[in-house]
Amino acid sequence: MGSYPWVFGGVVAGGIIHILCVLGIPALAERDAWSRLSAAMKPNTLVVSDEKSGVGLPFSPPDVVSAYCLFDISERNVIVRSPLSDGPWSLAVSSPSGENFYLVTGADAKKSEARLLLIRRSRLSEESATEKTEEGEDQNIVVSPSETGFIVIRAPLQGESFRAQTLSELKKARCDLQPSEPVVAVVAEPPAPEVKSNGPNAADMQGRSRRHRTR
Amino acid sequence: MPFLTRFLLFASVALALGLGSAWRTVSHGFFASTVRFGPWAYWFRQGTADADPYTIAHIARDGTLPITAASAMTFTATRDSAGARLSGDCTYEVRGYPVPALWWNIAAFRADGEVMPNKTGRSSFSSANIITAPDGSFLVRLSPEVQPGNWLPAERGKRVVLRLEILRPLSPDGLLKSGEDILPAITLVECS
Repeated sequence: MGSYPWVFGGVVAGGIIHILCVLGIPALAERDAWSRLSAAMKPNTLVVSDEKSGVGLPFSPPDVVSAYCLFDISERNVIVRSPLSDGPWSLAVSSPSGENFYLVTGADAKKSEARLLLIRRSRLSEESATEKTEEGEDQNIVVSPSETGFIVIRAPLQGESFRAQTLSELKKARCDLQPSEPVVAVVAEPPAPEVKSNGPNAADMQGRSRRHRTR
Repeated sequence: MPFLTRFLLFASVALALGLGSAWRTVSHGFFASTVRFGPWAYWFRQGTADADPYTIAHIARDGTLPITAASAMTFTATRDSAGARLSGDCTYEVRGYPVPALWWNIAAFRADGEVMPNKTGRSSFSSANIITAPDGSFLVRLSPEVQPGNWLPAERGKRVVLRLEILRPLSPDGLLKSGEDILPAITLVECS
């Protein structure tokens, strides 16, 4: 009888340790995909994984050439352009925890190049971009659940002799911050009627303006 | 029983159970996070928004970046079909039929996910370059010795992990229902 409560306590404590370990691993892991890539790359820059760049992730098949970009849309949207030259080519967008919330393959795409506009969910209500750019290009608007994350372009090789050609094609991909748009008009609202004591401050009301921007 | 002995019993049970079960479930999965088809394990929520804590921890520990399970299925084998651990000192036959899909790939890695260095530079075969028999089947030989046909060189003295990645399978439900019949078998030939 004497040791049973201690064994039972050990089982309960073991359960707590188990839960803490499982929940703590993602936060404490020093060799997860985000840590590996952020140590070797700048944000919003596309890097092709090859011997020269030294960028890569474990369990990446050697007959797949990959390009990575760590996006950061905390300040501005990010524009991604990627060739999708062949059916199995894929463009994936994932959160830092590994949630792959967007994927397009060459087989899905109508054109041999995909253009994405990555935007934050919190900016969605004020976003005026459409699925047609001013230049007439098609773009897919992707709402990211996180401010940062990964863009991964995977290009399976048809054979080893295609490596140089595939690398050269993949290097055409881009991952850039969206240029800040010029303010084309600032339209002042009509002056507010004069109000007395309890109303809002008249000076504040007159000072408000609305910016109209084009994208 | 003295207090110190009881406390040591408590601590041993807590640490062995807590750490051991966490390592086991995060490394190899269990019924709530993985499905097993013979030697192949499939983490069915990897890359998805509803990934469970075990799957998230598994991905973080591996350092991989999976494509969502809705579009790609990745199967991992660390043992052969008889249940013995895959070793770089042994020769195995991986025999099966191509899975109908947009693209698939079978690759051999070290346990830490690095490609095993070899003179041929080959560590994987895909649907684009694998040699198949007239009946459509394929045979990949995983071995440290030179083999005819689809040879995946293994590194002596190392554990081997095989990964089968299937992009846009034609019938994911069919794979989940009868994966053991569809996925390739891994048979030990000899060890040297």
